[in-house]
Amino acid sequence: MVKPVDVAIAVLLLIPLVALLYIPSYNHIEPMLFGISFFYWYQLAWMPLATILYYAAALLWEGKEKDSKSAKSSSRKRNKR
Amino acid sequence: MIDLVSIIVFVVLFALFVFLGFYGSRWRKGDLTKLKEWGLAGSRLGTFLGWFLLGADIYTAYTFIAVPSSLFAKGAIYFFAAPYVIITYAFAMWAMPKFWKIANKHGYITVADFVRDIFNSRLLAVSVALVGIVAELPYIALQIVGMQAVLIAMLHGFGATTTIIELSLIVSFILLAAFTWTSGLRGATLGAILKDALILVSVVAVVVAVFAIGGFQTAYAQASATSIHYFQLPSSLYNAYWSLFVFSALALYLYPHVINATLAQKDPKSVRKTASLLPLYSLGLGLLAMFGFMIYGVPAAMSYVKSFPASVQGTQVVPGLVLTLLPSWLAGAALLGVFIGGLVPAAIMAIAAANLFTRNIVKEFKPNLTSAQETKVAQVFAVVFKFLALGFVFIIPATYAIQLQLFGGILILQILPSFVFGLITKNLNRRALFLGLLVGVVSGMYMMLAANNYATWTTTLISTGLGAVFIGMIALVLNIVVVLVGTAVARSMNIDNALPSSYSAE
Repeated sequence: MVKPVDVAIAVLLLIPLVALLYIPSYNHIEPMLFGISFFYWYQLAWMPLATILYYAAALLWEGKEKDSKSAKSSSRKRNKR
Repeated sequence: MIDLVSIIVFVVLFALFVFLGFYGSRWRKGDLTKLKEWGLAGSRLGTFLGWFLLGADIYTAYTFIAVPSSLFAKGAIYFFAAPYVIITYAFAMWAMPKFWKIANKHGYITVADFVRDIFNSRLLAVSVALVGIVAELPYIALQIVGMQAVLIAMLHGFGATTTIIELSLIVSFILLAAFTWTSGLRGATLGAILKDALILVSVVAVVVAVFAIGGFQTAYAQASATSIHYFQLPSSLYNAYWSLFVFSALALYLYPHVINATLAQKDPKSVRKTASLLPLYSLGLGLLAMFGFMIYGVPAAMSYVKSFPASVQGTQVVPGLVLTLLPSWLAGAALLGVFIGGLVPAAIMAIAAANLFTRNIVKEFKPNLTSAQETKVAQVFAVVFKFLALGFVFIIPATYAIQLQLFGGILILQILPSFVFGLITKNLNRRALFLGLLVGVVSGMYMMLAANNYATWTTTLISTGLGAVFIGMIALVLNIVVVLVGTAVARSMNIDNALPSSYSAE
C-alpha cells in the first residue's frame, strides 16, 4: 500500500527534476544577477534548494524505516505471546 | 606567467599529497591483502568521509577541465552538467541503499556479482563486467587530459615541448601507480580531501577576483558579440540539453568506481544521506563551468588561452584564469588541486575496473584463486588499465575532452536494465537482457562514429526528428525495447523461464 510518507518522499525527490526539465521556464537572459544570465543562476540556485529537499526526503525515509522495523519487532512479540 | 613561487608550492604540496597516499595505507589499518580492504576501504566510511570520497568521483578533471572547456568552445549547452549533478542524487537515494543492503547480505562487491545471481547468468555477469571496465577507460583518459592541461600550463614559457609534457605524464603515472598499489581506496580518500580544499579556495578566489574587476559585465558584452550561444540555449537544443543531463544522471551511479565508493560506506543510511547532501557540493562544478564564459572578462587570461592551438585552447581556460588572477602561491596550489583532481579519480577508476576484472572475469575462469592472489591480480590490472586508457586520449581533441566522459556514459548506460531493473524484478529473461546490452553497445558505438563522420570525436549528439539528442538515450531505449520484447517472446513461447533458486532480495 502507498503511504502518505512515500508520496511525500517521491514529491521531494521529483520537484528539482520537474523544475529543471521545464527548460523554457528558465532559458532567459533577464533578470541578470551580478552580470550573470538567469539561465545560469537559476540552475545554480537549485543546488542548495535540492539539497534541502533531498535531505528532508532522507530524514523522512529514515523515520519510515525505523517505524517499519519497530512495527515488525512488536508484531513478532505479539505472535510469541 | 608561471613563476618560481607557483612551482615550489606545487611541488611541496605534491610531496604532501604523496605522503598522504602512503600514510593512507596505515590509516584505520586493515588487512590490505584482502580485496575488500584494498578496494572498498573495509566498508567503514560514514556520511562525512563518504561525502568526500563520492565528491572525488564528481570533482574530477571532468569538472575542472572538461566542462569549462566545452562551455568555452560550444556555449550554454554544456551547462547541462549542472542539472546533471543535481538530479543524479535523487536517483542514487532510491537505488543505492537498496543495492547496498542486497550487496551486504550476499557479499557482493560489484554489480556483476549481483547480476550473476539474480538472473542466474554467467554470460550476462561477464558482459556487464566487461562493459563496466571499458566504460571506465575513456573516463580515465579524461583524467589524463586534465593532468596534461596542468602540465602544459606549468611548462608554458619554459619552451614547453610535447616531449616534456609526455615525460611529466609518465612520471606522474609511475607515482600514481605506486600510490594506488600500496594504499588502495584509503589513500585516495585522504588525497581527495586535500584536493577539494585546494580547489574550493581557488574557485572562490577566482570568482571574487573576476567580480572585483567587473569582469562579469565585460564577459557578457564580449561573449555576446560572438556567434556562440553563451547565455541561453537556442530552442533547437532543448532536447539535447535534457537528454544530456537526464541520461548522464542515470549513468553516474552505474560506473564501477561510483558503486565502489557507495559500497565503501558503512550503512545504507549513510549512503542515502551522503547522496542527499551532494547537490551542494555541485556548486563548485557550476561555478567552474561558468569559467568558460567568465574568461571573456579577463583579457590577459583570454590572450593566454588564444596562444594555444584550438585543439587544446579550452583546456587552458581554468589554468589561464588561475594564473592571471591569483597570487602565485595560490595559483600553484590551485594547479596542484586540478592536477590531483585528475590523479585521484584516475586511481579510483582504475581500482574499480581492476576489482571488476578480478572478481567477475578472472575468477569466473580461475575460481581457485586465494584472496592474496586475487588482490595481486587486481593491483596489476589497475596499472594495466591506466595505460590502456591512454589510447583514448588520441581519439578526441583535448578541448572536447567532455566527449570522453559522455562516451563512457553511452556504454555504461547499457547495463541499466540488468542492474536497475534487477533491483525491482527478477522476471526478465536473461537472454533478452544480454541481447539488449549487445544492441545498446553496438548501436551506441555506431551512432558515435556516424555522428562524428568517422573522424575525431567532437560530439555525442546525433540529429533526429526531434533535433539533436544524446546518443546514450537512443541506445538505451533500443536496449530496453529489446529486453522487454525479448522477455515477452520468451515467456509466450515458454523458453528459458527457469528462475534462480538461491536468490532472495531481503
